Amino acid sequence: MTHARRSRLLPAAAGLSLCALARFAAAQPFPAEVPAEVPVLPPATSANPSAPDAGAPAPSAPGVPELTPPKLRRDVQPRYPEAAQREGLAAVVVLEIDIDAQGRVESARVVEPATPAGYGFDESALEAARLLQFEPAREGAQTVAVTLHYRFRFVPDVSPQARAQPVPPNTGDAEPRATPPTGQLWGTLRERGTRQPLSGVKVTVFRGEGTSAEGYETETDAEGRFHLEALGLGDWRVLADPDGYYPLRTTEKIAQGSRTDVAYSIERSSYNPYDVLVDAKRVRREVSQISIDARQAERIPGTFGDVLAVVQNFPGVARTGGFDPAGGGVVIRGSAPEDSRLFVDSVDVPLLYHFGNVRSVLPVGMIERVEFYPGNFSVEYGRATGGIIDVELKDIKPRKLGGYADINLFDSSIYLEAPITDELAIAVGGRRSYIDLVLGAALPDTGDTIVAPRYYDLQALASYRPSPAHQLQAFFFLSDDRFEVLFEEPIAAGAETVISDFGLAVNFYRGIVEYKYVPNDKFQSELEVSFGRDRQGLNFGQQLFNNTRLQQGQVRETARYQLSDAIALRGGVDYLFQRYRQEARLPELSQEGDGNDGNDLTESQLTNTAATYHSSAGFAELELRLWPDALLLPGVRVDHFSRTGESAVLPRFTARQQLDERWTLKGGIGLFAQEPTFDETAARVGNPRLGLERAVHYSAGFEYKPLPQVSLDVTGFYKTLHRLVSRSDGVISRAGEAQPLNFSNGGAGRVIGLELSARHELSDKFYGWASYTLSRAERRDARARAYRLFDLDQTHILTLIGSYRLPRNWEIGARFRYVTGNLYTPVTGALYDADADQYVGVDGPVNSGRANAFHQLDVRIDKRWVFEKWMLNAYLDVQNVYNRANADGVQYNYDFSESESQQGLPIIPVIGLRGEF
Amino acid sequence: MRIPSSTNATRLPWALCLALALGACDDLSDDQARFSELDRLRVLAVRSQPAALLLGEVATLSALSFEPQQRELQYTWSWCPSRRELAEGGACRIEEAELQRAWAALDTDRELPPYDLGSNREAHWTHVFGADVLQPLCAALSAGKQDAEQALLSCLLGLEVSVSLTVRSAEQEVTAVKRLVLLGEDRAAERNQNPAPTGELLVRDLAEDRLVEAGGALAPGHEYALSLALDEAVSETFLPSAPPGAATEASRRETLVLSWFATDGSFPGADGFGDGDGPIGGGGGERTTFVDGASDFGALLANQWRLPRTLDASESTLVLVLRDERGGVGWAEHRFAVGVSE
Repeated sequence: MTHARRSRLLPAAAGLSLCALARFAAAQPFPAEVPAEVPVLPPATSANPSAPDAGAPAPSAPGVPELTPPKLRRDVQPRYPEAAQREGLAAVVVLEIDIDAQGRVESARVVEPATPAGYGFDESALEAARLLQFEPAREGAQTVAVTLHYRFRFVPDVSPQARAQPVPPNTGDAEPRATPPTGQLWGTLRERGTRQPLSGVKVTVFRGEGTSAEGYETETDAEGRFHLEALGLGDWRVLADPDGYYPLRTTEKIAQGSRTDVAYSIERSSYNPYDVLVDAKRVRREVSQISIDARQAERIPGTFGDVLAVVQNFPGVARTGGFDPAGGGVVIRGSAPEDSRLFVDSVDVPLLYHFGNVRSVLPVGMIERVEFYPGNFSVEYGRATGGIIDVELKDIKPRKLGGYADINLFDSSIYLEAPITDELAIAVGGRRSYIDLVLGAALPDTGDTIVAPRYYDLQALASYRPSPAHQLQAFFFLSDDRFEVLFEEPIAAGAETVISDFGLAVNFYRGIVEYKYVPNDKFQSELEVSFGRDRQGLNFGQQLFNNTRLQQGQVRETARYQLSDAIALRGGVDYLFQRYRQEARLPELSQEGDGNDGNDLTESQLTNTAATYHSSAGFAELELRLWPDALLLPGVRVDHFSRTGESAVLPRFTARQQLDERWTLKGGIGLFAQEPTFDETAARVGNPRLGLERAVHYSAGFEYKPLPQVSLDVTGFYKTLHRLVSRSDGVISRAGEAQPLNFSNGGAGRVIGLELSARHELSDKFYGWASYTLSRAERRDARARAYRLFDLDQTHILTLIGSYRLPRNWEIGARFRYVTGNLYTPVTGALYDADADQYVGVDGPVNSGRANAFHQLDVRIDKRWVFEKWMLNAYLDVQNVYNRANADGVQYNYDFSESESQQGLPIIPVIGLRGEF
Repeated sequence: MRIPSSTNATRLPWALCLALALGACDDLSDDQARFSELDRLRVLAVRSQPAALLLGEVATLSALSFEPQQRELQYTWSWCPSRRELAEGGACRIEEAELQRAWAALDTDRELPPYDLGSNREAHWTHVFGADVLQPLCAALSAGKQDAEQALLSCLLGLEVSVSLTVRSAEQEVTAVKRLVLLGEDRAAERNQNPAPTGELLVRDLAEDRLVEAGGALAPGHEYALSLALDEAVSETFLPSAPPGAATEASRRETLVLSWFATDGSFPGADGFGDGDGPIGGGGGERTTFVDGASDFGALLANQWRLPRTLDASESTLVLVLRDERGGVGWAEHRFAVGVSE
């Protein structure tokens, strides 16, 4: 069996903090109530950017199984040490308890000893802890071993006999003593700012000192309510001191025969969600996988709070920069952007960012985490030869209406979630940019009509859980980008091409319905049905345009069955239907490896395509645990693509071997395949006869965890790319007519690299990660013999990220990046095109020049104010703090006789405000 | 025109979008050389007369070149029957000997022009590629070749004949390439004429609000409104040929582009995008345009010219080059005396 990685549950969230109480004889203290149901904790998170440690979540199946903490089944009161009782001492002992999958306490140890020491508190607590029994923790339907912190609070016994004054000698005139009058204290305890009820929190009332001291204790219920009856009249001091919060200390006056109602809000000592880090044991499956929680990702400096921008910091991801409306082209381990796939809950989406690189299309409120697979990914993912980015949607389980509103330099966004019934919850969100309004006011009146870039996105999510075994989730989201310019005077792009206006519109929507069925701990199934449409419109006046429309529907079923303790089977089917239309008149578009061969507006061709395609896949994978601490994942995926008429059988294998608590070895090999892009197979301008592109991924490495909070991941990778689509000068005969081939599958590529990442998980105050990638990516064009560097080859990519939590809800973070400069093709001369009236640069060897290295420091400062019912977070995110003039390329004058570096973005400070309630 | 792209990984012509939208495709900072500035050896236009050739006709090839010191220039003319890839150096992909061999095998008494068209200021080229020789010529060129793509490609898309002119001064050299337009007999009626911007150029001093008389001097530091007198008929009406598969368009007037060059000063053009400091401009600037149905003919003929405050020369030259969308081109030159610098 794989050694179980323990989970860590903080008692505040678990609601299992118990106290060892001495007896109170005077009043009737309410027993420490153990809630019948402990609150559901946030799902496990992992802050490891490259390869989470063994305990970090690695959901290979879509969705994250819900983690249910253990429930106390048999309580055991510890013995109150006699020596301490004589002195009336109180103490707190915090233990770390390992609970196995059957709910038994395997071991316990002291993590916070009692103060004062030497009275036997620790020993008494350990003795009692070993006798506790629990309902085991569950991950989905499966019981799991966990580790939790358990607090014993020792309060000295104060008996009425000890308090009572001696009765004076009977003088015969003594009168019988009356029952003292009492009152009640009823209250609620909530978290300040979020208004979340705090359950399982000890509330203590006490007064007096020494031998006259008296006190009572109770615990809040699931709604944060508590009450104490039969309290003596007068002032009582109230104390509530749950872990992770500033203590509540106040005084209440109890009046005779009445009920005193109170409502308390206490503030968290830190609103960093990683105070409640749940690090349950999850199956680590992939060779290379990065999983990052949305709440962590949004605070990384330089990303302006945009969760999906964190992808740019992952090892193996090249820096593309710039303004690229082709859609968040992510270059992963030397693969072209179109070779990697973007998913939302395993449903294909065309882009992640508005205008390619500005802001992501999904706001943080809807995102639970981002999963990144740079290579050797599971058989459940396909139609890609590069990497996979899968955005996991939030599993909404709100207990009250909540949400946030965010305003910053670029846009404003809003998010709301609410429970409708116990089974049904909904969430909606939206964002709209206003840089068009800002520019409209700021730019001088040129006479040209400008609609500056503007974007918006909308989301709606509903989750229905009629029973623990069934969950239905529906999600709809859309994204729209638009940019238009109407020139007062037409622009002459040569005599043959004059442009009076320019317009760009990119929009898409997706609807996803998911049904999860987990009837027991052996079987789980997930069915997804999705539909959507992608549209792209581009025009330069009336002469040049490109309008594409893609409608698609997808059905996907994934199931897992635990055959035995050592063997599980996962498999599924995936069917994708696409209806594609394109009408375009455009010049020949630049391809990777074209050098400076830009878009020649004088040579445009009209294309008109309407076609229907479908691709289907079946996949199966075994999870084998044949010997201790090993995991073998042999699998196969079979894809069929109607556009190329080909099928591909793609076997893959991944293996992990945990050597001990600290070391894990891993490796994998697999075949991958994808279709060419639509324009590569378009009639007339492309080659409809193109075949699949293929790749073989090899990777191996190790994970090392020298300390509980420190992890190191080293992965070497190599991949070969075959049958790449590449320009061709060939000619082919179609229907008796000779036509240019345009493209062929004659290209090839190879990429080799090493990724190192080190991570320091959130300790009391600090979180940090460092990643470094060394790589070389090459391509060989169809009409060439030798390999050349890939356009986006970046030899060194270094990212350092750190975040430090200061007192009073201040947080500061920084990100430093160093990346090898971009390649460019130098121009060695120029010719004058007398028809186009412009000079054309004569290229040197493709990608033979390299710009200076890129480096940049980004800083982020957060400050949070916590009010009674809401919180305000202000942030300043400064990109490129020292205003480095990074070279993003080379630009030339009109005859290419002079050149200068094309500068990247300067310092950009962004201020934002977010109100949460 | 061709717009260099700074990244090649995109599917949309994004560099094209951005360049057009911001008018900054080749632009550099202000102290870099301007397209409109005549400060070095330039070839500003290459003309074929007639603009479009019928079979058997002889084209007279000439060029408008400029040398700041008016030094003697050497010319080298040549032609090539295949598409040239200018970014790869513009070399001809068909060897002359190979073409001659293929030509010799044809049953024709027409004489094939040599690649070398001489070193005079003007050259001559005869259109000999009739339909009767085209197909067998292409077949002959491709015969026996493993990768005969270059020759076949030029034949597939119609024969693309281009001429190359290299102009050399003592210190500099510029090579220009122009496509020759060859017409079939069935299209003789829509033959294009070379436009000529030879009308009177009116110059108005904006500061003093007065017309500069013919022969009058210009003042350094002043800005002048330019207006060219030109008949609208210079934009010929024609029936555009539709690309394969496209619907036939209606007849319309030619698009015209007027490029403005000067030995001194600049053409600020309209405010906003394209202030005239790059090869793309709008609303004045380095190029003015006429697009039938989209702009006024008058917008083609008007511009502004700003002279620098200090001028070493006593004379400034203004050169206008007028192009139509069918390969026709014409030019005119204007010289102005310049007064003493302020």
